[in-house]
Amino acid sequence: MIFVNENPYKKAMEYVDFDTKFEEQTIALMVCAAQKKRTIRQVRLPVGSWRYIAAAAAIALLFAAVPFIRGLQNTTETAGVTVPMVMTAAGDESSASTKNDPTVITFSGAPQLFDSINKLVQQSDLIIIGKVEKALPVVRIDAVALGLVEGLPSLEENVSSFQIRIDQVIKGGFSPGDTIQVDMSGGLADNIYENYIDTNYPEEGLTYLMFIDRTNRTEANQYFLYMFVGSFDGFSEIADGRIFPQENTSIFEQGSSVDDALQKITEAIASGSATVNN
Amino acid sequence: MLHMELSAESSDEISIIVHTYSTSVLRFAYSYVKNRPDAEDIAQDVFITYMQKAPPFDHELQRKAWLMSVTSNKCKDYLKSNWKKRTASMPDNLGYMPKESSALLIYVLNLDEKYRIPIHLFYYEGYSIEEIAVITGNKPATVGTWLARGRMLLKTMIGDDFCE
Repeated sequence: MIFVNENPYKKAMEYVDFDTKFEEQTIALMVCAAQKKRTIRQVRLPVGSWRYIAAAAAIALLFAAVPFIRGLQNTTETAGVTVPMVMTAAGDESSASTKNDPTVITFSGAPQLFDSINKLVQQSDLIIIGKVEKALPVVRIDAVALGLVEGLPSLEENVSSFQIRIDQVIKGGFSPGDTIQVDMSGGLADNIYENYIDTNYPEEGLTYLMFIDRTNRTEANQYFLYMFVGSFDGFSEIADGRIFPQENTSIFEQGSSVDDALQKITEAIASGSATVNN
Repeated sequence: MLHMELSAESSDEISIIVHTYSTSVLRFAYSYVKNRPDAEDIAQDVFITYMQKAPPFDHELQRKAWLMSVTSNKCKDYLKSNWKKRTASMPDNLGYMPKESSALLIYVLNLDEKYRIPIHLFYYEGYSIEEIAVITGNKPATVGTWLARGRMLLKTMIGDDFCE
């Protein structure tokens, strides 16, 4: 008797005999794709990252202006593109530099968004109100050399770091007055601007409600010990007792009271503790 | 550093993802294209796409649903492609299977795609009608209708030997 219920059909499908090397070959292809990924990533201008577009444009203008500032001296033309000549440290004229415009690399992918405050709170090791004391210079690192990524020969990426002074601790083992460094992927370094799915960055001097993840990395890794949670929910600006989340987030209403937000967070923490205790 | 960068680019994690999901992705593709070489090509393409585009996932069910959805789209594209329309795939030889299993598989593979795919996802993967609707991009009511009609067609084809 032939009958269709879960097991006979499943059993029949299990008999289908695929290439025994399928997994091995697929893994090899994927590792190869991962290595190529950073050199063949889609290049497009991000939407909404006007600050960085403006910064890139300003740098491009600066480079473009160099020949004119020098009275159009020391220029050369290569393949139809006029570029400034660069003086080496020894004083010799080097070959023409092609580093006029920053290379813009956009990393595509769906953002990680939170649909409930409970999930956001649960995923945050540290919830604080803090001020960005200093936006540190963006650096380009080799994530493999620093032990941040495994399985690849190397992986260069830009890191934007922010020195945060903690004003109020809602969750986590810190005290007001402590400072921590929170790192984010992306930013402009070595003439390469990396943008991760239209990520925004906190601004120096402003105060934010922050949801922070304490990763399993150590001081030896130098970076990404602390990261903002999610793609856009990790920090919301605070001004005049009101909260101003980033666009596309739904946890807090724009301009709502900080006290209300803190109340909701406290309730979510208590709710999480109760769940754990039960 | 985004989750997807870490999860997608660590070779250990790549291995885990392929080992965990290759069976489902391969067989789902097979239920669409009905021959193994094409199913393997599509499945490889699905995993490469995962490598390039996968978003971060809150849990594994989401990851699997994403992979199945991408497989469905790639199979549909493949079946619609001009190349496919100009060629005839070699029918798969299922002679190596026990007779009962190959007979059942042939019956299901001979169903129209709209009935075959819900039947595969329901009986092989154990997805609910709502989950099948999400993966295939159809309404749950439509999926329910196709599933019922598919069963009825199988009953017609198999005759008295069919039972649910």
